Amino acid sequence: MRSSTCVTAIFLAVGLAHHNAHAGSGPTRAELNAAGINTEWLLPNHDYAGQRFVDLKQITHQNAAELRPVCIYQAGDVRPFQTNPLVYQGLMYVTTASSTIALDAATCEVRWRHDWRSKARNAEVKVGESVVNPYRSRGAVLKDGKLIRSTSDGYLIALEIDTGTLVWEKHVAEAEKYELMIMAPLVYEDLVISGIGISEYGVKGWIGAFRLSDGEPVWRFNTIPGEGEPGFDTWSSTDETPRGGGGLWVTPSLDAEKGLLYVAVGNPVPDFFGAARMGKNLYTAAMVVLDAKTGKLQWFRQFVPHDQHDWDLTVTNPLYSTIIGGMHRPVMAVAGKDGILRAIDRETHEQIYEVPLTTLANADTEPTIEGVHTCPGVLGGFEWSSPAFSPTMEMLVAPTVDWCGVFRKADELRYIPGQQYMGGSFTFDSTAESRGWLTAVEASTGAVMWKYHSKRPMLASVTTTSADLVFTGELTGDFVALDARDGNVLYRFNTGGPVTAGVITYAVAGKQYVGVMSGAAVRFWRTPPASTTVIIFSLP
Amino acid sequence: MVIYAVTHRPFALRQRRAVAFRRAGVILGSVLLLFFASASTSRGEESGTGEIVYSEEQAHKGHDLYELHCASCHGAALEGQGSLPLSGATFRARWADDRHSVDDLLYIVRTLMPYGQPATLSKQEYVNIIAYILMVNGYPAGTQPLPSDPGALKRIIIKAQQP
Repeated sequence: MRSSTCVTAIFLAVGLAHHNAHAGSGPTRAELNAAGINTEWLLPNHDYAGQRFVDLKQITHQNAAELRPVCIYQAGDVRPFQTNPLVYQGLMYVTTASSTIALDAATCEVRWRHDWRSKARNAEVKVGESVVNPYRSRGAVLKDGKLIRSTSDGYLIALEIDTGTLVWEKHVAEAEKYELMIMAPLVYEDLVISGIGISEYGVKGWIGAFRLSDGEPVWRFNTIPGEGEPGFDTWSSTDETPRGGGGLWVTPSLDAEKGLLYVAVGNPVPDFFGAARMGKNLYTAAMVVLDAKTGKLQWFRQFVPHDQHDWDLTVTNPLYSTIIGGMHRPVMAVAGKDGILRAIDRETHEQIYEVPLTTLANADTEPTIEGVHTCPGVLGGFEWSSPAFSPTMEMLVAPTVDWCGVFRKADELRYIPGQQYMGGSFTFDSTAESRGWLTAVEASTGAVMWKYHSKRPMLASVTTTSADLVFTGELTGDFVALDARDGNVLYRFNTGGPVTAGVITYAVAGKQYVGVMSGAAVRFWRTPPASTTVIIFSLP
Repeated sequence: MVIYAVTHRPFALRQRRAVAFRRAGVILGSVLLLFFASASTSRGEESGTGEIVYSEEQAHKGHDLYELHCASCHGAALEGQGSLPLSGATFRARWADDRHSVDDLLYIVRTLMPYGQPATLSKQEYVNIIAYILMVNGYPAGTQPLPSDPGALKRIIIKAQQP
């Protein structure tokens, strides 16, 4: 247990002092490095380590049932909504596929809104701003008075955080070829770090760094090695069956002190036709550790060699320290669509434990033309929301999908440029058979402490607090506050649309709030249409 | 031979989709000159000539199947309600580019669709749905049905269209 009361008081005081200050010069490097003990929300997963833990305890087990909405903001958008918002100096920064909005984080009053107009000449990408282009934004990042985000047509853009005025734009990815930057970028010192996130069109994944001052490229690491690069020989693919995949779903976690970037890499392509790409298929479904300043590979560990089920590593990997066998060990939690949570020692690179958090069946059986019923299904396991770490409870709280189905290998493999390159198909079990879990495990051992069952897959982000509460959302539309000690629901509120994005908590002017992002889910999830909505909760 | 050397008769099929008429009108108007220039040439209604061929009866069947299996996501008029449009600019960008064959289109549809329940229709049913998609996108009906033989379908290239 930490002595958090004192820390809370200090940071609430700091927050108060800065509340009315000019935000234009921050957040600074020092503020971002200390984001973990900040009671606002400065980075996509709260802090560089990706813990999603906030040292706030005004909302407690005793009073959580008194939560109620303070204000609601609707962005006028019905596309999938997956943003993880940021809160800095009293303003909340929210992204949709094309808009960036700064709201008062206590009242929902809009301070500014920036709408990006696609420059794409390709009709499909243009049209794709509505439904064709699978681009969606998982958020933005702030530093030195700028907000940086990606766009549907392959740009990184920087906006003034005070006004929303465009500072620079840089075309960095070939959106016409489905190089789509879905993740919220990261900023490390003077570098913006982002990568491309869609694998299924034969795209070869990469992550890159760009100058914060103007977006100029600095380094790039190919998650699918090119000829002459290490790992190239782990693929048997030919020109007729091109190698691809290795998309990056989410913001990497970062050891800011050591300058190490922990990058979770997606699946190989063609997804279900492994015979076309014999070998381990590096660096797909691998945790890749890079020097954040240079992009040089430090080490890697692959978790699903030669994946044939589209089982990407999909989540930010929270970094934490825990005591194992009487020794402090630096650990990272790794998870993906294979539904297994793993703890890896960041120094020895050894696996400490693994624990399945969803149903497993026929997981080692490769797809056949006739079909193999397999769990997890093609949607995991884990989707894009990561386990949250609670240092006060010494536990990880992880959202998962439990939805099996039949994987089929195609009777013929065909690569058609611009089309999905799956090499097979997946047939879902009925929607009624889909469900979700929120599971708490001991961070040091993986022992399950409690499980919360949801009627539908759980996709929303998870946040823990020093009052031992857990905040998250459900595909049913419910925002829920749970007791971190036993998983009991203390408060529930239906937001009117699926919650598949950020759920955060923060303080403004000394008062604790919870921000919930509600809106349309991707059609995979078979939910009714919904509208992009931000709902802010607090105690009376 | 040019694919847009379109039939000289109106569609006998009374398409239930106004959009089909609109697209056909655009195509017809834009290729009238070509029609007169090539009226004496074969209309290429036999499979294997590289021309798009399908019969009205086949498109009728495809329409009924489309309504049942596809329209809930792709829209009653193939406009892409909540999913990928199968007509208009999107169809032109994805398929009508002189590079993709009808068999390519069939391959994607039969291996991925209906969404979440792929490969659950018969080959002939998939081919009929393709015929309907081609009709709505303005490709004229003929007397021969679209073949289901992959070899023949691979030789039929979906020609580019003007918006």
